[in-house]
Amino acid sequence: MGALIKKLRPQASSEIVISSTLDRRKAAELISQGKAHIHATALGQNDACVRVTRSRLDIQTAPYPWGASKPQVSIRIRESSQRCAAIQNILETLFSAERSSIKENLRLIMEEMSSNAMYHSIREESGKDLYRRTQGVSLKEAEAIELNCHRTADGAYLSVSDHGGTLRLTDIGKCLERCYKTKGTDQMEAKESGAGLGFFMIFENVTHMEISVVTQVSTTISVWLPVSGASDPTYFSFNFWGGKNATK
Amino acid sequence: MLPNDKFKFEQMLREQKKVIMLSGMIDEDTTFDEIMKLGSPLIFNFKGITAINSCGVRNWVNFLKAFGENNAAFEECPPTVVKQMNMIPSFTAGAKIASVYVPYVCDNCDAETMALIDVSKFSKGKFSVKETIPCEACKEGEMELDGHPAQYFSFIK
Repeated sequence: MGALIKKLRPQASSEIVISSTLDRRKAAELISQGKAHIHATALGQNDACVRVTRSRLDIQTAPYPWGASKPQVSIRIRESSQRCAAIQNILETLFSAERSSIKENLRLIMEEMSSNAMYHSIREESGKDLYRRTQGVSLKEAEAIELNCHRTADGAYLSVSDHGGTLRLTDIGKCLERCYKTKGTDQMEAKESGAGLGFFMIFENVTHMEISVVTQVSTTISVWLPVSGASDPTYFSFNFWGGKNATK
Repeated sequence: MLPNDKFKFEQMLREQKKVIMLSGMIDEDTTFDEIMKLGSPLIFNFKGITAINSCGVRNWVNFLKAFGENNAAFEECPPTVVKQMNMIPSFTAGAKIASVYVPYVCDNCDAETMALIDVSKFSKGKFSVKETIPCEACKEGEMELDGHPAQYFSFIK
């Protein structure tokens, strides 16, 4: 316990943006300014997810309540052509009874998460993406991505892990800023590399998003969204966990 | 038909107007070159579209820009297309939106249906849509609109 207390940093709470009046556009602005921990919640410091973020800033171990369970379905994907089948498999296994709008939303999010991981995680030395989205891709065994899903009591926990570890907070900030400023217009011009439109779609449609980067090793993007009851657009969180180099 | 089995289109004539029936998934493999050759104006019927990803959105927006948004009209847009219209305004740009499908779910038997709504006379903040309709499946429950009307019709300009 003594060791734990020594690790606690008084400034940890100030690193978290907590507000009951944030919308996603404003959150995107904050991310582009370098804020890595954002919680839109009326519960303030009492929100369970805020408490986890606060404790993780100190000891980096606690899982968020929505991501605590082991995945019920886990699929490794190497071929871009396998994506649709993998996603369909998850939908049929865990969400077959859900209404069409829920399944469509889950399909879109899984599609964007997995294609982002396949096409934008592995980069050349110059920093450019090794694979292009305009063509099919066959990842090497060591580059295979993993798509995980867990059906919670009232929601879906999805995560995708890649073996790139190249995602930076600044990349996310730029992408979201561009998307919210233009609502997609100039995203269309970027045909070659990651334009960020897919990430924007994920950000717009999930309640919780957590990104963990081990620089040059791996990136895991985890999200949670409700599948029963209406989603509350004023309640969401974004957390980016990465090494020093990842956030610069 | 395009050389891509995930996406197809067919051309029809309705009152001397060309209607393009789109079907399947719009993604990175989808090209609209063959449709471009058909000339304009065109009515795009989205009823058969099952999914669109971000690359598909990009392809569509680039196509629409080259085709001329003022020469395009959209009809029978299913929820998956309406979602993109709401998220990415350039998906429709200045195209005329004639009709969209609105999803309903029964509170009694969970049956789902979609109602085709003429939105050509809707304007921003001025639209009316039934929030409930009788369930034809169980004949007992009421079907509720699956979503918030203001959010669902936020593409209206």
